Amino acid sequence: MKKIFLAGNPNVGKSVLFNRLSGARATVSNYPGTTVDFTKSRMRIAGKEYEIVDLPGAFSLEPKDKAEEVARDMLKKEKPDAVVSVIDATAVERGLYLTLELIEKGYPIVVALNMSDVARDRKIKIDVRKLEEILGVPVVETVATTGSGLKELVSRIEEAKPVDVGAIKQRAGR
Amino acid sequence: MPRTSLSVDERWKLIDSISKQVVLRGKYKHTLKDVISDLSVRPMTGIPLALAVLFGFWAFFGAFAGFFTDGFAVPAFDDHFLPAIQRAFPGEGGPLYWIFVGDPGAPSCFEAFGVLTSGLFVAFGVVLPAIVAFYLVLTILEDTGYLPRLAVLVDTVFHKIGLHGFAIVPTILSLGCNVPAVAASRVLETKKQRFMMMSLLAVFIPCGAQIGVMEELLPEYVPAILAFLFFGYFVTGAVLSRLIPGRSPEILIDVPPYRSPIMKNVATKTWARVSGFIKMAVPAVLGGIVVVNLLYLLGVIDWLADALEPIFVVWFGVPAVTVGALVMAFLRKDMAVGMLGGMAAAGLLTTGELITSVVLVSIYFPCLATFIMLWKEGGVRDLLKSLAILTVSFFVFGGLMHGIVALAGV
Amino acid sequence: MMKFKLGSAYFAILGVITLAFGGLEVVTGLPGIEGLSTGALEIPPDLWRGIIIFFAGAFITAGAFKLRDIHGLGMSTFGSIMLWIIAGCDIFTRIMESIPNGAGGLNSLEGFLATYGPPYSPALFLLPFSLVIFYFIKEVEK
Ligand SMILES: Nc1nc2c(ncn2[C@@H]2O[C@H](COP(=O)(O)OP(=O)(O)OP(=O)(O)O)[C@@H](O)[C@H]2O)c(=O)[nH]1
Ligand SMILES: [Mg+2]
Repeated sequence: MKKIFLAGNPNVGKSVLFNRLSGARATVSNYPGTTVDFTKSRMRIAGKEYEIVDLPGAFSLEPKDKAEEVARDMLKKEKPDAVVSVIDATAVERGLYLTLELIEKGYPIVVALNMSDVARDRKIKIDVRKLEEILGVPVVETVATTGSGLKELVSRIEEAKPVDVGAIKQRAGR
Repeated sequence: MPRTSLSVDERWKLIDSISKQVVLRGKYKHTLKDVISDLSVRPMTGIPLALAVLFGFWAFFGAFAGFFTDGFAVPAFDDHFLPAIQRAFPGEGGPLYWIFVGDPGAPSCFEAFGVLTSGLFVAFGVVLPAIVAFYLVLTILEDTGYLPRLAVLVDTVFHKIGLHGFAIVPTILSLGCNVPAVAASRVLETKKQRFMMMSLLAVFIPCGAQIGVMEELLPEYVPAILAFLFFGYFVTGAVLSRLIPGRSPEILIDVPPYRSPIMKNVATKTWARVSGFIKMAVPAVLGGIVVVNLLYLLGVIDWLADALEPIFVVWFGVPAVTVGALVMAFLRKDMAVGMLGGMAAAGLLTTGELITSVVLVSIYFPCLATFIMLWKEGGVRDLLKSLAILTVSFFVFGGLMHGIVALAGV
Repeated sequence: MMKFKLGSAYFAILGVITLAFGGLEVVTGLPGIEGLSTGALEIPPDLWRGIIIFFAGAFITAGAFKLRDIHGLGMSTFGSIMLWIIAGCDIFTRIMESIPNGAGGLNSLEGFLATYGPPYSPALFLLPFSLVIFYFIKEVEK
C-alpha cells in the first residue's frame, strides 16, 4: 500500500487536513505542539487505498525537540511515496525551509498552501502558478477547516515527484 | 537523479528570492483582533485577563460539576441506590458483600467503599461531571489560542526554574490528566527540561478527577491546597534546575492568531477525552476497590498501617488509617481522595488531617497509568530519578503541610 | 462626529461605575468585612472577582477616550470581555442552580423562576450596558 505523509511547521493545520482526508480524529488545537506522536490512518483515492500519516510539527529536519525527532525518524524510516508539505500561507518562508529540506532529501512532494483564507484576509497574495513553476512540484491552495481545495490536492498527489534543488535554484534565477 | 544539498545560508537565500517572486504583501491594517491579542500578552492588561480566565474556569467547573453531583448524583446514590443495594445484596458481612457493597451500615456512598457503591458513585457521580466540565473549558482555551498567550505571560516566572513559558501547556493539560501531559513535554528542547517537566507534573499536579473529588469533599480548602501544590512545584523546580546539569535555552513562543472555536471540534475532542476516561479510568477505579478491599480482608493494610504508624503520626500528623488510601492511590488518586473523604465522614479524620492527607495523596506516587507513561518516555533511569525526587518531596512537603495545618489550627 | 463623543462619555462613565463596583467587591472581600446586599443588588464579598471587575472598569475607561481609534476601542472591548466572563459565569451558575430541587429531582416552576430573581451581582447589572460596545465595533469597522 502506498504511503502518504503530512509534514509541516507546527500549527499549520496538518491534523485538520489529516482528519478531513481520512475521517480520523487526531487532536486539533490552536497552539504549536499539539501533535507529539505520529498518527496513522487510511484513505481512498480513485478506488485505491493509501496509508496516511500525520506527523508532529517541525521547523526543520534537524530536530530541536523530541516531537521534531519523531517527525524526522518517521520520514527516514518509512520511505513515504508522497509527502504533502503543508505550508501556512501567512508564513510561506519558514514553510519553504522545511519543504526545501524535504526536496533535498529526495522525497516526492506536493505542497498544500493551507490557511489561504487567513492569508486573503491579511492581504497576502501568493502567485501559486509561479511557485509551482519554480519548485517543479504541485502547489495547491487549501483551507483545511472548510475543505476548500482538498479535492484538487488529492487529485494531484499522484503527481508528487522528487526534484533537484539545483534546478530550483536555476528556475528561481540564482 | 543528481541530488544537491544546500547549506543553511544558501537555503535562506533561495527562499528569499523565491518569496520575492511569489509573495505579495498588501497593506495590512491592524484589526480589533490584533489589538486584543496584543493586550492579552502585555503584563499590565494580560495578568488581569488571565485572572478573569482562571476565575471563569473555576466558576464553570464548580457550577457544572455541582449541578450533576450535588443536584442529582448525591441524592440519587445516597437516598435511593445505597439503601436499596445494602438491603438487596445477599450475604451481608461476607467477603463478597464487603468487596461489592462495603460497609452495610454506611450512611453515604463515600463511606461504604464497595465497588458498586463508592466505585460507581465516585466514577460516574463525581468524577465524570468534573472531567466533562474540565475538558469543555480546556478545549475552548486550546481552540481559541489563549494557551500560548498565557505561556508568554508566565515566561519570566518559568525562566526562574529553568523552564520556559511553554511549560504552562503541559502543566494545564496535566490538571486534566497527567498521562497526555507527560507526552506533551516532548515539545521542550533539552533532555533536562523534559525530565524536570515530567517529574514536576507527576509529583505536584493533581489530575482533574482528583480535583473533582476534592471539590466535593472540601470545597473551601481546594484553592489553598492547589496553591500549596503549585508552591511545591516551583520550589522543587528551582532546586532541580540548579542540581541537574544541562541547558535551558531561551525560545521565542510562537503565538497563533485568536480563532473562534469550531463547535464540531470542541464536541469531538471533548468526547474523545471523556470516552477515553470511561474506558481507562472507570475500570481502574472499580478494579482498584476490589484490590484494596482484598488487601484489607487479607490484613495486609492493617499490617502496613501498624508498621508505618510512627512516620505517619509523628511526621505527617495523620492517623495510620490513611495508609489504605495511599495504597489506593497507586491505582487511582480520585478514589483515594474519596476514601479519605469517607474516613473523615466516619469521624476517623479531622479536617486538618484530611487536608494533609489529601496533599500526601497528591504528591505521593503517580497513578499506575502515569507511572507507565513516565517509563515509556524517559526510560528506567529517568523513572528512578523521578521517584527519588518524589520521595524527597513527599517527606518535605508532607511534613511542611503538617506544620501549616498545625499553625493555622484547622 | 457626535456619535463617538457620546460614546466616549458613555464608556468613561460606565468604566468608572464598573471600577467602583469592583472596588466595593474588593473591600467587602477583605477578611472581617461583611458583604453588602440591598433588595436588587448584592455585592459578593470576593477579592478575586473584585480585582477583575476593578481592572475591567479601568480598561473600559482607558479606552473610552480614543474610541474611534482601533487601539482605544480594543482596550474598551478588552475590559468588556473581562466583565462578560464574570457575568457569563454568574448566569451559568444560576441556570445550573435553577434546574435541580436539591433532593434529586427537578425543580418546581416557581422554584425555577425564583432562582432568576434579584438580587443581582454588579457584573449582571453592568452586562447589558456594556453590550453597546458592539455598536461602536460595527461603526469603526465600516
Ligand atoms: N482559518 C483556518 N484555520 C485553520 C486552517 N487549518 C487549520 N486551522 C486551524 O489551525 C489550528 C491548528 O490546526 P492543527 O491541525 O492542530 O495544526 P497542526 O499542524 O496539526 O499542528 P501541530 O500538531 O501542533 O504541529 C486549529 O485551530 C485549526 O482549526 C485553515 O485552513 N484556515
Ligand atoms: Mg497536529
